[in-house]
Amino acid sequence: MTHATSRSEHPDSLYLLVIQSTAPYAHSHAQEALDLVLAAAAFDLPVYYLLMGDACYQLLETAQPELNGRKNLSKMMKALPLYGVEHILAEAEVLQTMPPRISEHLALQSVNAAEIRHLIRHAQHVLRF
Amino acid sequence: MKILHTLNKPPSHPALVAQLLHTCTPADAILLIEDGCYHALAPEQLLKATPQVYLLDDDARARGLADAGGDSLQRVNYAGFVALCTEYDKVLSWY
Repeated sequence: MTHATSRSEHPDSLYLLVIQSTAPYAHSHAQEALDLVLAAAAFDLPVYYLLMGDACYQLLETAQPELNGRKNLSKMMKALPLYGVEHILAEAEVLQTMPPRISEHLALQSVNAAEIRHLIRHAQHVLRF
Repeated sequence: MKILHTLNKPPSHPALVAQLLHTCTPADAILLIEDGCYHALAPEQLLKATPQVYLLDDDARARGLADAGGDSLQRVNYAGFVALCTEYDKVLSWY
């Protein structure tokens, strides 16, 4: 896991911000957020994918959602860089409560509240799930 | 009179958890199901209300919580879920 991006790294140009704040496996919101991120990447749209609150539970890499008839989103998360999704972010405050359980294979950026506010204000579009 | 409380929401629903804790006595039990399993990451608050806190194993493992909570939580399968429902006088769902 890499730590907080600086504000200067956030482009002040066009980008889509996808915020997911729902837990991964009780509903389809997380799947829909990921599908949107992948679709945006397929069209070469710069996209930031931000996990807030309960969505950070998606980073628990030992999840076996197949037991509940769901797809394993942590595997899809790891594949995001292959599809050109370079900015995968998670709320720093939540990450602090679960650091040993986060996949070390994911290039994750931890962002604080000020950085999240900056990301939202500078995005061309923001979609929240 | 002892009650089985089922909880299916994560810790981000503090008002719901507060209501559960206000009504739970030490003779009662709490069963964590679905997203309620995330309480296993920090079950101390629930364990103060009752020592009988159960975790539905399939839902916990689905969420990457196979070993969360350690020995402080008792794991049950679906048959165990049914057995708890028959063991307690009432089942109260917090959702």
